[in-house]
Amino acid sequence: MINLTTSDNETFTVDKKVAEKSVLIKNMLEDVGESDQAIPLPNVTASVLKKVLEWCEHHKDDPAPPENEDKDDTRKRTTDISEWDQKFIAVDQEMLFEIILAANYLDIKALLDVGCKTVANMIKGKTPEEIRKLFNIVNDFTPEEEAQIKKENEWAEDR
Amino acid sequence: MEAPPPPQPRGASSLGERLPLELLDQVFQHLTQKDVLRCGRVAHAWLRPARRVAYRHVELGTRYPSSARRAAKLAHTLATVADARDSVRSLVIVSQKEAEDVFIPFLRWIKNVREGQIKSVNISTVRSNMTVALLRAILLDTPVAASIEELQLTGIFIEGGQQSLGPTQIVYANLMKLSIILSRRFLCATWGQALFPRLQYLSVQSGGYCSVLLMLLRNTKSTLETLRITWASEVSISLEPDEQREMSTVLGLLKQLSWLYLDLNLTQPAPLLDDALPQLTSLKRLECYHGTFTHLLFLCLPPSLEMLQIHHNTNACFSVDDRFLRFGRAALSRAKVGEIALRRFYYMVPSDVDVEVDFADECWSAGIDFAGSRSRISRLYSQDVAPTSSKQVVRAAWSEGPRGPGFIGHIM
Repeated sequence: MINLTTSDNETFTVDKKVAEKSVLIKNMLEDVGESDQAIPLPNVTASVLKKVLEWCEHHKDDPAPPENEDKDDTRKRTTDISEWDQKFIAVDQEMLFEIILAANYLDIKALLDVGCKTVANMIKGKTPEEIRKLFNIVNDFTPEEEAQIKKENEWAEDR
Repeated sequence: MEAPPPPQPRGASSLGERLPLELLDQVFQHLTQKDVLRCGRVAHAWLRPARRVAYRHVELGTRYPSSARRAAKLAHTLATVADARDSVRSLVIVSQKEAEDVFIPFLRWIKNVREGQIKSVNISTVRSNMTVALLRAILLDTPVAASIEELQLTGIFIEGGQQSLGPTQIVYANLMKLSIILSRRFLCATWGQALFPRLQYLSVQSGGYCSVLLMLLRNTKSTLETLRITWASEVSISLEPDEQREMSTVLGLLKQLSWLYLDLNLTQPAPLLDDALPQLTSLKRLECYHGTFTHLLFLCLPPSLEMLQIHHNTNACFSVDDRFLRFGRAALSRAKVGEIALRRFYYMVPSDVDVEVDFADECWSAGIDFAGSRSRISRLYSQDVAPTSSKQVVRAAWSEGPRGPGFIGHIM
C-alpha cells in the first residue's frame, strides 16, 4: 500500500497498482524504493485526488498504453469515450478542469485523454461566441482582428 | 469598510485562463479543422495553439470545383499567415491541370520552410501530368527533400518546358517511406540517382519492368525492410529473360528485407523468386503471384519466413495447375523439422478440392494456419469452435460456394 498526501493535507492509502497508473508516482516509487513515507502531491487537492483515484481503481487492470505514439497524427480525431468514463467525467466544469490538470501533473495519459475529449465534445459545432460563453472567456480581439481571422479561416467554412 | 468581493460566477476562472496552452493542443487534437479554427477566434490566447493544430496536416485538392475554391483560399492563407505555414508538418496535394494556376503560385513559402519542419508529403495528379519542374519547386529544390520521412507520389510526372532535371543528386536524408509510380517512358524525377540512406519502406507501381526501379533497389539494399512491387496494368506484361535475371539478382541483394509483396501481372511465368529467395535471410512475409516462381519455391523459402501468401491473376494468360498445392508439402516438412519458421500459409488460388482438403489437414496437424481459396475457415479464426475434423470444415465451406468478400478481410 502507498500513502499519498494532498495539498490540503489529507492522506490517502491506496494499492500500489492503483497509484502506479500515475507515471509520476510510479517514477517516484522507483527512485525512492520501498518506503512508508507518504508521497506529497502539492498540486492536487483531496476532492480531486479522490476522483482521480476512483478512475485509477476502475482502470487498474487496463493494459499500459503504447509508448511511441505518433503525436503528429492529427487525423485520428476520435471523441469516443467509454460509458463508464462518460459517467465518471459528468462533473461540473470546475471539477473537469481540476481533473485534467491533475491528470496532466500526475501523468495519467488515458485520464488526460478522457478529460480533453470531453472538453472537445463541449466545443464541437459551436461558434466562437458560444465557446466564450461556455467557458466564460473574454473576447480580446478588435473587430478588425476578428474580421481578419475570419477571412483567413474561410477555406474551412465553405464546403 | 470594503465591500466583500462579488461572488464569482460558476466557472469564472475556467478554461480560458487556467488550462495551460499545451493542454489546449491536446483538446484541439480531438476536433475537426473547422472546429479548431473557430476556437482560434475565441481569444488571443487560443489563436496560436489553434493554428498549430489546424495547419499541421494540410490538404490542397482540386478534384472538384468546390475543393479548388477551398484550396485556393487555403493556399492564400498559408502564403499570408506565417503562424499557419510554420505549423505544416504534412502536406497533401491533389492536382488537376487547373491546380497549377489555382494554388501552386501560393506555395512559394515552401522554399523557406524551417529545416526539419515538413515530415510527410503526398502529391497526386489526376488526369493531368504534373511537370517535374513543378515537382522541383514544391519538393525537390526545397528544404522539404531533406526533412521528409514519408513521401507518396501518384500519377505521372513529366519533364516540362526547357527545364532539365539537372545533374544534382538529391539526398533524402530522413526518408523512411516512399511510394511512387514509375513508368518506362518518363524518367521520374531522377529516382534512380537519388540517395535514401534511411529508406525502410518502398512501394513502386509501374506498367512493367523498369530499370529505374532496379537502380532504386541497389541504392537502398542495406536499409530496405518492406518492398511492394505492383505492375498495375489491364493487360499482362512480359518479362524478357535478361530482365528476369537482372531483377532476380537485385532482389537477392535485399538482406534486410522482411516483407516482400510482388504483384507482377505476367504474360508468361518468369520465375525470378526461386534464385532470389535463398539470399533473403531476413524475410518474414512473402506475398506473390503465380508466375514469379516455380514449384521449387517451397524448397527456396528462407529459414526466417513466417508467412506465405500466394495469389493468381484471374486474367493472366497462363493457367495454373490446380494440383500445384501438393508441391507445398516440401515447405511443410521443412517447417516440421524447424528448418523454416512458417506459421501461416494462405493459398488464394483455385485448387482441386481433394488436394486442398488434404493439404489443409497436413498444415493444421503441423501447427500451420492455412487458408485456401475454398476453405472459408482456418484454424486461426475458429479457435473458439474447434472443428471436429478439418476435412469436414473445408468440405462444408467448399459446398457453400465461392467465398464472400468478408473472407479476405479476415485474413489480411
